[in-house]
Parts: sequence; C-alpha cells; structure tokens
Amino acid sequence: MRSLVVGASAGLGRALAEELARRGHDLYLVASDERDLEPLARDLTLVHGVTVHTHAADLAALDPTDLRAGYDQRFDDLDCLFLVAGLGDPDDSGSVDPVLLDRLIAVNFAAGVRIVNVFLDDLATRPGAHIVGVGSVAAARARRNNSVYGASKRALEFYFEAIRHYLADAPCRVQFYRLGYMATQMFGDRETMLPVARPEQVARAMVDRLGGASGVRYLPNWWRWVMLLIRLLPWPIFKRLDV
Amino acid sequence: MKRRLRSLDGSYSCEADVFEPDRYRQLLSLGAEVKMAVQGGGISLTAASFGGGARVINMRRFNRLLGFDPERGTVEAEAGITLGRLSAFLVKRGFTVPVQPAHPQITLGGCIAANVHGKNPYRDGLFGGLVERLRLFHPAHGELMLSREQNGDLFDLTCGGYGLTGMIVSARIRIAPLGGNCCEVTHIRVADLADTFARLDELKESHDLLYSWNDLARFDRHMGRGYVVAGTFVDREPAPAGPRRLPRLDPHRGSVARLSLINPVTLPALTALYYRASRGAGPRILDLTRALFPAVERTFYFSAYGRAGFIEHQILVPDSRRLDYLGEFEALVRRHRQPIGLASLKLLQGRQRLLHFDGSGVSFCLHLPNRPGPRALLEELDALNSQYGVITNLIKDSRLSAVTARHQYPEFDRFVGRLGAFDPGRLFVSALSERMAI
Repeated sequence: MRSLVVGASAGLGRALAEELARRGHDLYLVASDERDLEPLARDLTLVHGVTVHTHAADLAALDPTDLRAGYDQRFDDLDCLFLVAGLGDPDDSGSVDPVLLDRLIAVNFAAGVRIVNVFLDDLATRPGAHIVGVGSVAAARARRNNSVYGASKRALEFYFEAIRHYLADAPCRVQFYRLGYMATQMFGDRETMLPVARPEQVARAMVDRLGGASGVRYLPNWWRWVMLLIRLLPWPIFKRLDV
Repeated sequence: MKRRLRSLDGSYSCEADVFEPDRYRQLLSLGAEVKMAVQGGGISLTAASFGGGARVINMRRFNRLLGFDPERGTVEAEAGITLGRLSAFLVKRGFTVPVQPAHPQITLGGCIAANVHGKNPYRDGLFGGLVERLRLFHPAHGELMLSREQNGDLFDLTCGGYGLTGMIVSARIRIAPLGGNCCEVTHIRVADLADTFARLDELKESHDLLYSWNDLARFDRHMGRGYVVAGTFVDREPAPAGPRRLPRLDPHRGSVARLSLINPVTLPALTALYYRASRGAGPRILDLTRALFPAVERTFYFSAYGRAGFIEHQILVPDSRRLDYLGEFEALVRRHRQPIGLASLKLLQGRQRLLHFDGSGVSFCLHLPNRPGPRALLEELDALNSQYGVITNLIKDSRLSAVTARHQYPEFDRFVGRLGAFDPGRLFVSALSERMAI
C-alpha cells in the first residue's frame, strides 16, 4: 500500500504516518518544513523498513501539479490519500486579519480540494483506494470562536460529501472524520472537562477503519452524542454559551 | 502551559511554564528573552530540568531515529528519544547502548547532559564516552555541531554540563553488539560492605551488569549484608518475554501515599524481607528489559517515601582510601542509627574532570527518607566525604550545597568559568544550577 499524508510533520499527521508505516505502507509525506519531514522519514524507514519520500511545501501556496509530479516520480500508484493539515489561530474571531483569513481558508479548505482534485481520477477507479479527510467538531455548529477555521472545515466536509456522492458507485472509499479534542499544539493548554484524545489513538482508529464504509464519523465516537446535544440546543441558550 | 513539576525524589516542586515544541521552526526560533531549562524525560532525581524561574522546553517530541550504522557501530537520534525506544530498536538488530541508567524513560539528551553511568561503569565508562558528535542549539549562537574535533571545548562542557550549555538537538553515539537475547543474573551473597568491595573487585572485568544491594537498615554485626548482582548476556531459546506493560513514571503527579510507607520504622523489616526474597540460590534468566532497566517495574517505590520524598546520596570514594573511609562511614551510620532505604555499590574507573561523577573508586548509592534525622546524617557525611576526597553526584542529591560541591570538585570553578565564557547571559538554568550557584 502507498499512502500520501498531507500535514505529516506533527500532531495527528505524524501519528498517522507512524501508524501507517507500522502497518507497512510506503509513504509520501507533505508538510511545510523539510527539517521536520526528513527526520520523520529517516525514523520510519529505519524502524519499519518502509519507503518514505517527502515533499516540503506551504499549503497556502501549494501547486498541486508539482505535488502530483513529485509523487509520480517516486511511486506508481496511490492507494490512500490523507488530508490531515489544519490551521487554527486564537485571533480567528469576529473581524479577522485579511492575510490570516486567506491563510486559514487556503490551508483548511482550498489546498485540500486542490490536492484531492489532482489525484481524483486515478483514485476513483482504483480498488482499495481511500480518500480520507479530517475536520473538526468545531465545524458542527457555528460559533463566535474559530469562525473561519470552522467554516473552512465545514466547507471541506461539504466537498467530501460531494466527492462521496461522485464516487458512490466507484471502488474508492471516501471517509471524513470530525475530530474532538486532541492533545496537539492546536488544542494547546485549554482547560476542558471532556477527555482529550492522544493523536496516536485517533490515528490508530483511522487506520483501523481503512476498508470500512464511506461516510462521516466522529473520533472519538462519543463526540457524536456531545455534538448532537450542542446542535439541538435552542438558539436563545446557545448564544449565551462561551464556546 | 503552566504545570506543577516535581523532582523524582519528591523533594522539590515548582510551577513552571512548559513548552513542548513539535516542529523545528518552533525550536530553532526560540529567543533569548527568558531563561530556559531543557527537559527530556523529566524524571531526574534533582530538579535538573526545571526550576530557577525558567521556561521549560520539553524535547519529548524530538524523538526520532536519524541513522543506524551497524558496521561502524553507531546510532544517531534526536535528543528526546527515550532509552526504551532506542533500546527496542537496537535489541531487535543485535545491538545495545553499553551505558544505560536504570529507567527506560530517560532520554538520550538527558544521558548526555548528566553524563550518566550504567550497570558496570568500571568496564563501560560514562555515557559521554559514547558520544561521537552532537548538535546543540543556543539562541545566541544558533545551531552548532560539536565533537571532540569540532568545537571540542564546548563538546566537553556539554557532556556532563547538566543542560546548561543549550539544547542538545541530536547526537550520534557508539553502540555495542548485544551478547545475547537475555541476561543470566546471579545474586552472590556478601556479608558486609568490605566483602562487597572484594566481590566487586573479583567480578569487575567479567560481567555486563555488576552492582550490589546492601542492607544498611540494621546496625548489628550484619550491617551491610546483601548480595552482588552479577549479570551476563546469554542466548536462550526461547528468549524470556519482557513485561507486557511498562508502567509510566510520573513524578509530577506527586506521591499518592500521604504517609510514608518507607520510613525508619518500616525500613528494617522491609530490607530484611527483601534480603530474604532476593537471595536466590542459582542464576536466574532475566529478559532484556528487566535486565537493562531494573527500575522499570518499580515505579511505586519512588512514591512510597510519601509526600516528603527521599534523598539519593551517591558518592564516589577513591580506591586508595576506600577501606579507611568505610570504617568511618560505618561508625557514622551506626552512631546516627538512621535506616537507609537502598544501598548499592558499583565500581568506577576513570579520571575526574569538570563536574563529572567520574574517577577510580567505589560508588555508594544511598536512599534515605527526607526527614531531619537522615539529613543530619548526610550533613556529617558531607564533611567526612570532603576529608576523604569523595565526590557527590550532583544529579542525584537535591540537598547538596554549593559550598560542599565546590569543595569536592576541584574543577568546579573551571566549569563555571568556561560556561560563563560561552554564555555570558547564562540563558539556561535549573533548580540544580541555582542551588549550585552555577
């Protein structure tokens, strides 16, 4: 199996790369900084004996044809495409700095669409192929904080739904995850009453589900009940919550 | 993020701002605005990786293997890799790190910074001797490649420099072929500490593991009885399985035991029981994890001293004076009648320099409850040690004063001077460096 992981340098992306390598996937890792990618590639090659290539690019300025060409130079076919990259910012509330706004949309949504688009035709017809996207519980109901981030992730989910529909009769699976709190730098040191998942746990669950049905799922799964409750909250109550 | 951090001995705690970079741009863009302490596994007995008002930079995400050359016998890795992970990789390929302290959560960077010793330091030397090269980051100097040939002075200062020269980012170290897939361990009974010296001398060249356990919780004619643990790597088919789970050592949560379960009242009975339980007749076969990391399944021990914790006092007595010292040491211990929780001896061979716990002699490692009585004993021991040219391991004893350390280490001021010349602003600090007035 060959997998391409976008956003592989840290957090969930790195955990996912490690889990895939542990299960024998050759990897093409994409992230913004080669200084992070190179040691990860060396580690995975040494420990798991898989072939790992890297592609350093800023997702906000990514040329998807470059990415595709780079991949094709090193591997023949792609089995699994994972879009894990995400960018959040504490200033993403109310009126957002235009440069930040563009970057949030580019990294969380536009880059993902461009990357899927450039691999879509090949993946569509490939038995056992997967397109896997990562969203957030932040996109389940709009709120004042993380407004652009949440909207971008909702847009990405919408796009994945469209792709799932497009590939409904194709062998390729399209899976999308709404992730709950996870111990990454993006989550930071926020205090919460809810359990915080480790990236390694989430990565394992995602890889376990390869071969499973297309669709949208929460990870960890219990978040579905939390978000159901939040979505059902009447607006007069919801608007008073500091979320 | 603000966290409460505690030393493993439980004697020091403080609130600290902890940052865990997970990308190189975060690590290498750290500025010199605030004092920093570098943290690896965070399980040092003294607060060597936090304190002193420093922002703590935790290196645990920089834990990747970078290179492995079985022909040259080297491995290269980022500094935050734990010995447990490194060992798991190497053992499968028939190699080991010849110098490893007792717990697998200790990181490569921590081993270099504290210049630790392993299970038979007489034969294997100190960890610094394994290091071929390392990459150091200091905000005022940038990234520096250090080896004996390149920036040798700074290399020398960094191996055993307690993290005060900067952040060790990665290192290449020498490894050795593993002698077998498990370890044959024999417990050889000894009558007292003098007998222990003799048995260690006999076995020092021939064993991969060599240390003792002695009962210093009794003050009669059996004081110091115990056994020498002598282990050799051997091949057995099938190899014994290691522990299924490795319990995590987390001193920062504090002791769960409100009361000290190990205390002067319980200690004589506990050590007597341990002596009886451990003096097996014949050799035992141990899996590699338990042999290489004997503290791995004893996480409860470290919190059993209760909230006040314990003090580890490790000293190195020069060979030439060890018998004279022993007489005075035993007399002092008998006079104070403070039961010692753990007493373990090892032999070392080397030359003492800078602040390295090194030299040719016998090392005594003692655990005592952190109470006024044992502290009074240790105060007197400090004075005795200074008379006999004994040095105390700075990374182990969280009570040692700067005055005593300065007196014991002839090159103390040389270390401070060289460190100051490299880093006049003294950006990297810790509770240890503050206490030592470095």
